[in-house]
Amino acid sequence: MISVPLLKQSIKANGVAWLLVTLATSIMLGILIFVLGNIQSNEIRDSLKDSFIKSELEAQFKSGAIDGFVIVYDTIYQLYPEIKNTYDQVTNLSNVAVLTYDQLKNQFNHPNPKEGAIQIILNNTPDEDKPLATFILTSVLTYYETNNPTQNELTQFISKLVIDLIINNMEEEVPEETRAVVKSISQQIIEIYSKNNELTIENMQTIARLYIENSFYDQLGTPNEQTDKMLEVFGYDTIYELLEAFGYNKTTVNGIASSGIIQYISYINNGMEHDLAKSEITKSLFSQMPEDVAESLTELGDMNIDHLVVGTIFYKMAGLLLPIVYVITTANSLIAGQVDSGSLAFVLSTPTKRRKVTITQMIYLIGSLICMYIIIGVVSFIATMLVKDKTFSITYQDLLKLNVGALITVIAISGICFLASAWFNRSKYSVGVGGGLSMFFLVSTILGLFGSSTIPEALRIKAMNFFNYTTIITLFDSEKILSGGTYIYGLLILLGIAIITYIIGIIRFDKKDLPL
Amino acid sequence: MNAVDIKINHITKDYGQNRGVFDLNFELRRGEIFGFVGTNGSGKTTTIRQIMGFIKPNNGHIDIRGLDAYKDATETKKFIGYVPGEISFPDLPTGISFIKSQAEFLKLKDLSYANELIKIFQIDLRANPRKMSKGMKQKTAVIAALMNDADILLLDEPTTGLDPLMRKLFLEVLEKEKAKGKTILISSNIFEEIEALCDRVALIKDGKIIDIAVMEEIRNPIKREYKIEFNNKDDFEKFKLENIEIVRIKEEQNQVIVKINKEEYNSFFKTLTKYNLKFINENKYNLEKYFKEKFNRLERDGENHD
Repeated sequence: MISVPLLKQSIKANGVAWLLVTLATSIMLGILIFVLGNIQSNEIRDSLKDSFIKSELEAQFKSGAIDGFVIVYDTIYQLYPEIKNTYDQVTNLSNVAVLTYDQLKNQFNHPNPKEGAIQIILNNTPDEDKPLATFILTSVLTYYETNNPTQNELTQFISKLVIDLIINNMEEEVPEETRAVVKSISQQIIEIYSKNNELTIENMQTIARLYIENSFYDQLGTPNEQTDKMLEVFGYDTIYELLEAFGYNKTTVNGIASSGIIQYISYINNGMEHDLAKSEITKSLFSQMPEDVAESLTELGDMNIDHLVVGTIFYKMAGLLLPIVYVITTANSLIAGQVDSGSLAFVLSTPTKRRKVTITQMIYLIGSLICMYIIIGVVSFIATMLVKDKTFSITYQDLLKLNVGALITVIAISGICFLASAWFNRSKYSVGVGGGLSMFFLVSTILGLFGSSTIPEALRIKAMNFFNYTTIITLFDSEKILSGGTYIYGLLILLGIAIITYIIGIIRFDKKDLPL
Repeated sequence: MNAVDIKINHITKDYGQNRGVFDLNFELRRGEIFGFVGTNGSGKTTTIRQIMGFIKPNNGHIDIRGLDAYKDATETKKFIGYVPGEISFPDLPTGISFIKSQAEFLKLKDLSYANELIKIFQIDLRANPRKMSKGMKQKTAVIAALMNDADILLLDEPTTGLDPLMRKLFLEVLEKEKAKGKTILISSNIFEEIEALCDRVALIKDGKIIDIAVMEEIRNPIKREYKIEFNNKDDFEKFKLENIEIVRIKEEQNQVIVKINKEEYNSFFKTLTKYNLKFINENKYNLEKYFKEKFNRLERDGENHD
């Protein structure tokens, strides 16, 4: 069914191109595997991953710091009037009490100036205030009597007393931690208020900021959903281990929190809305993504540079380019080129059936591609063998599948070029249609890569995924071959395309008029 | 009459705009050299391609020794040699490798005739066939067509590109082929090279056969024309009274053109001895004249019809 002399002619005419393409592609692949095996390709990924994670962590620090700041600020804002009132009341009472005490003791030699002072003052106090006033007066005067304090010491005592009153005034069910926070904040408020007799918004912001700055790192230990997920993804037991692994310490973490809050305050003071200011400050590389942050991080963690570079960039793009160029020129020269030039007249003026011509040329074309990929495959095996102990992570079995997949893809493309070559009598149409389509497929694959799931979501341009639907090379799913999944149907469709195009080409050539 | 090798039965291949061939109907008899003359684009190549089975006629069919030219194209190639009108060789390194490759296609083991032809044509086949001069390509293609000793040869303008010497050599080779009993179709747009060689010549114009001339009748016509000029007016006047068919008279030069039947040669020349002649000259009849006459007649008929 094949013509030996024609096969010989085809080999002689296209052998050099075949050899060059095979060598160039094999060498390209060999070098690629060798390089990947030696540069520890996953270091690239890891450093990429690191910067993503850091960006994310810092965004989370800032976000947490701002949330904390807002809560503390609100608390201050609410506490302030109460503290102010209590403080004023206590101060007034204590001033009067001390004055009365001193008078009773020094001028009247009162035997019990404390009780006396209390009685005098209570007499002038409305009934409803009497219990509180009694308590305050007793406390202040007991302290005053026993310790004979300086003015400063007395002020401090009063501050403490005010704080105690505030804390005692709180609801029963308020937890201990909150009481501690309130206590700490109240101290600050009173300190400033006692000096300045007022508390500005700036004062409140400063108090809240300093509070968060000092406590942020320690508070990270408090369990929460987001950190738990991150710990799970990266395999650390505590947040502090994780922070240490990425080079953070208390000072840096608190510094990041502080810078976030300072930014936030300046935004807010300039009239920005809370939500906008917060999102502006906590933008991370992930934050624009709708998916769960942890998911994205997992994906990035799973990304394999070897899979991306060898499986996709080489076997679906760079490594397909030369074989496709070979297919375009060879498919044309096997039929249309010879019809166009007229040289096929010499073959067809011998007892050689047209079908024998097309089948011979088909066998040459497919056979040469099979040989090409056998050599490319052997080179990929040898290169892998040379770097196997290192970090190259693709198995021989997967390499075999990749080679077979790429071969089937190129054969499908060769079918399209063959059909064009058998259909048209002019080279320019054959190359224009066959070559044009093939190149379109290849370029679409390259454009589609940027939108494909092979690229980590963080780097992906979703709209570009459209191009994956305009190329038959998509049917060769190298990513699934490497990472698991069904890839067989795509390859079967490619085989189907090859079978159909070759058959149509052969039939068409049998029937058409030949200008020979 | 010889057997018919190729019978072209009312074939039409219409490419539109009056291009193509229309209702061609003729035959090639075994052992004859059939000339096919026409201007470029008149349909010679289209006809030959249909005989080769490369293109399928819209109507009609071609019968080659009982086989259909299109359907049985592979079978007919067993006894057909072909020189295409436009020669382009496969991508092979040398002319020799081309000849060898063709021999393989033909399953031809014995290359002695090919070698003989190479000698006759004095061609160096070590050159790359794609870089050969037009003449060399022509010779190489002819060798490839003849080396199989095919019974029928279809030669599409095989002499273009050959120098006069080579053309003569080539025509001699064809004579030899004819002597072997080959049937040969040769197309050309030059009358002269064909008329010496062919048994019959068809003139094709705008895809239609104008006429098929039998060369024997042109070479040995029943009546021959002679142009006679007399030295003096008296003889001229006297001669006009003889019982001889006069075609044309030129009074001022004392010239007549006469037509003489084969059987009358003797009496005609006897008569001439009586006259004082300045010269006598045979007006040779040839293919070109034949077709010109045919053409004029056709056009006159056409006008009459209108």
